[in-house]
Amino acid sequence: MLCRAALIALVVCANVTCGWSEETRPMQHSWEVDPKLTEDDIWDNWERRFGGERVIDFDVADLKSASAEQRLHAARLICSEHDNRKFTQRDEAIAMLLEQLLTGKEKIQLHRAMISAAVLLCNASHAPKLWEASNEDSICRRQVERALIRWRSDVAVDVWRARCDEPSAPAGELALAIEGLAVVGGSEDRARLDRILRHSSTTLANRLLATKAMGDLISDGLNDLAQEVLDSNLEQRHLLAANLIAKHRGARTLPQCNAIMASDSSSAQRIAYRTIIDNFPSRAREIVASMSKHSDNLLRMMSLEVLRDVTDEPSLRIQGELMKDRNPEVCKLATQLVFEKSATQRSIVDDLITENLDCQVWQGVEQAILLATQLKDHSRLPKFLRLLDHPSPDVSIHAGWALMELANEPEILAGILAHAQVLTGVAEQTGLVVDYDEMRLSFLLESLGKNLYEPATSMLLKYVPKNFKFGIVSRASAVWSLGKLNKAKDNPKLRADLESRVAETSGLPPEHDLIRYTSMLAIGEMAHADCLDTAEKFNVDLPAPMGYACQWAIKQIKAASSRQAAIHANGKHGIQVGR
Amino acid sequence: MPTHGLARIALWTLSIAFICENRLLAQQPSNSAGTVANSLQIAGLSRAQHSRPQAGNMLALNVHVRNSGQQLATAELVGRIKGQPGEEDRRKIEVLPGKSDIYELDLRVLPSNRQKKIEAVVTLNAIENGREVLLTRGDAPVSQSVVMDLVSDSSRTAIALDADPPEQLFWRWPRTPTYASYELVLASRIDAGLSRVCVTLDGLPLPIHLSDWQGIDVIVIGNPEVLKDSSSIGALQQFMHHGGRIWVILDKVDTSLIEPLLERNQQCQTLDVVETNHFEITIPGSIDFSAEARTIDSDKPVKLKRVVQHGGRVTHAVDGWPAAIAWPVSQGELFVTALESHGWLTPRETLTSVDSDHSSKFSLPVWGNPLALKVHEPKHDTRLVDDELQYPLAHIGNPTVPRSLVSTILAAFCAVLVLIGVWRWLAGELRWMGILAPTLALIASVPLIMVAVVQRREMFDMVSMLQILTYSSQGCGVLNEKAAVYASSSRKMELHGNADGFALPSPTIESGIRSLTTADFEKWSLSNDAWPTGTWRYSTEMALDSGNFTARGVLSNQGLTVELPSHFKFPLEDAIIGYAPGTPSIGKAMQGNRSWQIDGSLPAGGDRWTGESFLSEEQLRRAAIYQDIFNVRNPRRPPTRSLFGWTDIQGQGATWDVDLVRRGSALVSLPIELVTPEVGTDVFIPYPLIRIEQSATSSNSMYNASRAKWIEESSLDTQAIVAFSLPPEVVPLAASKIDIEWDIKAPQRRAQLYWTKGGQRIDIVNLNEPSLPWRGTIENAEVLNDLSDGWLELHVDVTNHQAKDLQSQNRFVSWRLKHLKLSVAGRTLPRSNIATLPQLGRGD
Repeated sequence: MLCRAALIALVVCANVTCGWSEETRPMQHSWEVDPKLTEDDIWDNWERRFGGERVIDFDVADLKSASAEQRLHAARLICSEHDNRKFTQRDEAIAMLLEQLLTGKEKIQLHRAMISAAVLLCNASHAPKLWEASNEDSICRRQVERALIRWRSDVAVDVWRARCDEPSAPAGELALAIEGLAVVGGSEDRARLDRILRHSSTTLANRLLATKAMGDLISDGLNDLAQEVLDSNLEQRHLLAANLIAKHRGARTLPQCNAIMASDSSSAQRIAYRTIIDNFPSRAREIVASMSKHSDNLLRMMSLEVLRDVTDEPSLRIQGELMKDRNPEVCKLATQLVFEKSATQRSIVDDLITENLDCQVWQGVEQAILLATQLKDHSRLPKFLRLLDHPSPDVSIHAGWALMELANEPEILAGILAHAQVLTGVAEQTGLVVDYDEMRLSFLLESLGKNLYEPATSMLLKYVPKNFKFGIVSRASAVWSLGKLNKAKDNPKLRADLESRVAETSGLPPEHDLIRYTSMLAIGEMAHADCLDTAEKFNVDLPAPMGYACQWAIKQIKAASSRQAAIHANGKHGIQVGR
Repeated sequence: MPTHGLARIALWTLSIAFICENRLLAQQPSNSAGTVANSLQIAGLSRAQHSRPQAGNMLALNVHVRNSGQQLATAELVGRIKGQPGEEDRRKIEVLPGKSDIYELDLRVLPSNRQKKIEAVVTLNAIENGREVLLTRGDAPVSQSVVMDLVSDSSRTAIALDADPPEQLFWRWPRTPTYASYELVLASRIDAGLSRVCVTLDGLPLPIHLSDWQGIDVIVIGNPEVLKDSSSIGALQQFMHHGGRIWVILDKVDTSLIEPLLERNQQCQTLDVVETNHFEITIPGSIDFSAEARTIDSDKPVKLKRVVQHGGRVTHAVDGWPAAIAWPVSQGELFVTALESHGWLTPRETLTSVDSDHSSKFSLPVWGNPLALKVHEPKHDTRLVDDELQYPLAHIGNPTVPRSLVSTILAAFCAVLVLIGVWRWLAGELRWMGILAPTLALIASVPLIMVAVVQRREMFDMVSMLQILTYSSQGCGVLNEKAAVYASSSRKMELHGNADGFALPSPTIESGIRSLTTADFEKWSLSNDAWPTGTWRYSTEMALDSGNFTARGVLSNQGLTVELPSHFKFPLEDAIIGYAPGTPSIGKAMQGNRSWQIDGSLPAGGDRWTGESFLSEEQLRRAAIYQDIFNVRNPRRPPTRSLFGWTDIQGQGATWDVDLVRRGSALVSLPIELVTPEVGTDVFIPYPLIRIEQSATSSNSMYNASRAKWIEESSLDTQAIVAFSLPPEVVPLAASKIDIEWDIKAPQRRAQLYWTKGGQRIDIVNLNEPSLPWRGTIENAEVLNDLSDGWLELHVDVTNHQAKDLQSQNRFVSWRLKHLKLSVAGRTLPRSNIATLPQLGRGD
C-alpha cells in the first residue's frame, strides 16, 4: 500500500505540474477558453449540473421516536447520507445514537443500524462507548473493530491479543485482531504473530497479515525469520518474507530482497523493490532497466520514480521507451519526466520525440505529440499533418488538436484546409462522419478560425445552417471560427443566420445549445448593434453557458457602439480615429 | 352425520353474517370522523422497488399518505387483492400534522392465484376513540388501487451498484468508459437467457424484512456504501440462509466489507491491484476453451484486485490470481469478481432478440458464460419439509386407547377363562362355566369401558405444531412453524409475532376476514374475528438472531464427535448428522444428548432414524420427517454439514392471545464446523464425512452429485471415475488404511474397482455377478499416498463380458449400485515445513 501511495502522489504531482498553461489543456476546444468568460470553468460546472448531493429529508430526532420503525428509518438514512455535506445534524445524531445504544435495548437489526450510523459519524474519541455497545453482536463487533483499526484506537487491544493466542479463532476474526495489533501493538506482540505465521491451520491471508504486522511493528531483526520463510515451502513465501523485511536496512536485507526480486511473484517484488528504493538506492538504479520492462504496471512506475532525477542518456532513453507504455499512467508519467529534462537534454528529448512519432505503438505517438506540443515544437507540424490519417483515432485526434494549438503558417493551414474539406465533403455526401473523425475535424476548423484563414470561410459557412449530416461539435467549431474571421465586420447575411440559430428554440428538434452558444460568441465577435436585442432576449441566468455568452456579447456590442459613438462624435469634431 | 354437517354450515353462515355486519357497521363513515377524514389522504400507491408480484409471495406496496390537517392523525392502511376474499393486510400509521410519509404494506398473493394481472386496493381507516372508521371523500372511500402483471420469470436480479459516473460532455476526448458494472449485469442476464429487467436498489438502503427478499434470486452489489450498514449485512446473511446468491463486484468494493458475509472459516483479503492490457484467463478444472479464446488484449488496461481467499472455489483466474470466486455460504452462495467489470465484456456481435428487454450492447466472452449461468440460477428451495405436512395434524385430538392395554386385558381374560375351565373340568362340574364365563367377561369389560369413557371426553382447544429452527454458521437463523389449530367453536383470536417475519393462514380457510397487521418494526399479528370451528392450519416464518449456534466437530481415531455449543441450552433427542450429502448418520449419544459420535456404524435411512430399539409414536412421526428431509428423490438439495435433533417446543415463536393447549416438537438444525486437528493427530474419517465429487477429467454417470444419488438401474456397460474428497481440515493426511464397502447388484456382469495413475493400475476388487455387499481394505502404499492431498479417484467398471455389442447388452437384466463407501484412517501431516512454536495460553 505504501508503494501505491507513493506512486499515486507521484502521478498526482506529475499531473499538477505537467507544464500545461492555464489556458491550454490537452484536448480542449478553442471555444471553451476563448473568450475567457469567467474565472471558473463554466463547462465543468455545466458537466456537474445534474449531480450534487441529495436533499436531507429526515430529522435526527426520529432516533428517539416511540416508533421503532421510525428509529430504524432514521438510523439507516444516516448510514446512507453520512458523507452528505448537507447533513448538518451530526453532533446531535452522535449524541442520540450513543445514548440509545448505551441505555436502550433495541431489537438486533435496529441496534445494528444504529451502530453503523454511529461508526460512520464518530471518531476515535467515541471508541470506548462504541466498543461497549457492540460487544453482543458479531456483525456490530466486526464493524466497530474495523473502525478501531482505522482510528488506531487501542480499546480492544487485549481482546485482539487474546484472540491471536487462540488457535481455533475463526479466520476472519483473527484477521481483524492481527490488523489491530499491526496498528496498536508493539514489539511484545512479535512472538504471538510469529506463532500465527507458523501454525499449521493458519490461512494464507492471515499469514500475510501476520508478516505485514511484524514488518510494520519491527524495523530490525526479522532477517532470520525471513530467511526461514524463504527456505520453507510455504505458499507465497516470497511475499511473506518481503512483508517481514519491508522496513529493514541491515546488510542481510539486500541479499534477501535480491532473492525476492528473482522470484516470479510480482506482489512480493513490489514490496521488495520499494525496500530497495528506500534503503539501497544504488541497487535500485542497477536493476531499473529490467524493472522498466516488467509486466507489472506498478514496478514500471517505480522504475520511473527511480529515474526521476537522473539525466544521463541511457536513463532518458528508458523513460522515452516508457512513453510507449500501454498503461496510461505509466506513459503519462514518462512523458512528464522527459519534458522536465528537456531544458538540459533537449537534443535527446528531440530524438525521443522523433522515435516515438514514428513508432508502431499508438500510445508512443500520442505521447510524442503531446510532448512536442508542450515544447511548442513547430518543426513537427508537417508530421502532425501526416498523422491526421493515422489509423488510431487517439493519434489522429491528438494530431488535430496539436495543429490547432501550433499551426500558424500558410502551408500548414492550407494542408489543414485540404483535410477539412475532404471530411466536409464526406459528411455532405454520406453524413457518416464518425465521432472521432468529427472530433479531429472540429480541431482543424478551430485552427482555421484561430489563424483568421480567409480561404476557409466558404467551407465554414456550410456548417451554419442546421444540417444533420454535420456533427454538433464540428458545427460549433465552424461557427466559432466564423466569428473570429468576421471579428468587428459587418456581415448582415452571417449575422442574420447566426441570430436565427440563437432564436431557434422551438424547432423539431430545436437548435442545439452548443450551436446557440458559439453563435452568440460569434455575434459578440461581430459586435453589431443590431444584434443587441437578440443577445438581451436570449440572455439567461448564470451559470448557464448561454447566459455567459449573451452577457459577453452584450458587453462587446455595447463597447463597439460606444466606440462607434465616439468615432461619430470625434468625426463631428474633425478627428479621425482608426479601428 | 348429515345433521352435524348442516348444523356446522348454519353456524358458519351465521358467524360470517354477524362478522360482516359488524365490519360494515364499523366501516360506515361517521360524523366523528370528520376531522381526520378531511386531513388524511392517500397521495400515491405503487409497488415497492424490490417486490415481485408472484403467486405465493408477499407483495410489498408503497403507500404515500399525507396529513394536511392540524393534528396528529392515527389510522390503519388496509390492503386487499381483488379476487382473494377474506384476506387483508393492515398497517397502523401515525402521520404528523402537515407531513406526508411513505409506508410499506405487505399483501399475500395466494399460491392458487392463477390470474395474469392482480389489482391491489388500499383503503384508509381512521382510529377514533378506539373505533375504526372508514375514511371517505364525498361518498367514496379514501382508496387507491394499482394493477400489475403477475410475473413468472425464472430468476430475478436485484442490483445495488455505485452511482453512475458524471455525465461526460459529448465533445470530450477520450471518452469516459461505459458504466461497466451495470453493463456486466445486463450482459450476464442476457447470456443466461433472461431479460435485462432488474430490481434497482441503487442509492437506497437494502430492504431488511424476510418477506422483502422472497422474489429475489440474486443481488449484485457494486456500491461499497451498501455494505457499511450492518442491518443490511444481517438481511444479506438471512437472504443467503434462504438460498439467495450474492454477487459482489470488487471494482469499488473493498474485500474487508464482504468479510461479514462469509462463514467463520472463509476469508478474502486484498493484496494489491495490478493493471494489465494482455492476460489469459484460466478456468480451473475445465479444458473447454482454447487458449486463444481465453486470451484478452485490450487497449484500456484491465484492473485485477489480487486477493487471497480461503474456503471458496476459484472459478476463473488470471496469472494464478483469482478473477472470480464462489463461496458456499449457509444455504446460498457468495460470488466475487476481482477482475474489473470491463474485462468481462465484449461488444455483442449478434443480436439475441429484437425485443429490447432481451438484448444488450455487450456480452460475456465464452469463458465467462459459465459464470453468467451459475450466478443467475434461480435460488433453490431451502425448506426442509413441505407445507402440507401431516405432523401437526397427528397431534390434534386425544390419544387412542393403547393397543397394548386392550390386548393385555383380553389376554388376561382368555387366560383366566382357560384356567377356570380346566379347574372346573378337573372338578367335574363344568356347568358352573355358564355363570363364571359371563361374569368374567363382565369383569374384563369394566377396565375397557373405563378407558373408553376417559378417552371420549371433550377435546381441548389446542394448537399443534412442528417448529423447525435452522441456524447458519454466521449467527442468523430462521424459525418455521407448521401448525394446526383445533377450535371447538368459531372464535376470535390473534396470533402475535415479535420478530421479523409473517404468518400465513391456510388458503383453505374461508371464514371471517384474516388480517395480517403490522403494528411496528418486527411487531405483527394475524387476526380473525371468526376462525373456523374444527381443525385448520397456519404457518409462520420468523428470523432468529439469538447468537451463533455452531456445533463443533472433533476428529479422533474413534471417528467424529459432534458437540453442541455450550450456550445452546436444550439437549437434542434422536440426533442425525448429515455431513457429506446423502449419508445421514445416527449419532451415538454421549453426555446426556449434548454430544454424539459418528464412526460409520449407524447409517440412517429407511425406517431407521434413531439408535433406540423401541420407538414411541412421536419417534415414528419424527422418523417420517427425517425420511422426507433426507430422501434422495426429493427435489430439494440434501442437507450437508448439519446436526439435526429434537427438542420440546421453544418459546421464540408466535403466540396466540387465548389459552390453547400447545403440543408438538421442535426440529433443530445446527451447522457443524470441523476443528482442524493438531499436526500428528491420528484420525478416523468415517464415510459420512467423505464427499463424492465429480472427477475433473471425466464425467461420472454412476453418481448424481447434486442429489447424492447412485445409479438405480442400468442395462448398459458403464465406466466411471468416482472421486472421494476428504474434509479440507484433515489435509494433508498420511493415510494408513482405507476401508471400502461396495454394494452392487449386477447379474450377468463383471464389476471392477481399481486405482490407476501414471500408467500404473492396482485392482482393488473384481466381482463376478455381484449380489452381496463387499467389504475390503486398501493398504497399498501408492493408493494411500495418492490420498494425502485429500482427493482419491477410483475407477468403477461394470461390463457384460458375454455380450458382444450394444444390442445384446440391452437384452440382459439391469444392474444397480446401492453404494460405494470409503472410510479412512491416518495421521494429519504439517502443511508446511516451517517449524512450529508451542501455543501459549491466554495472558502469556
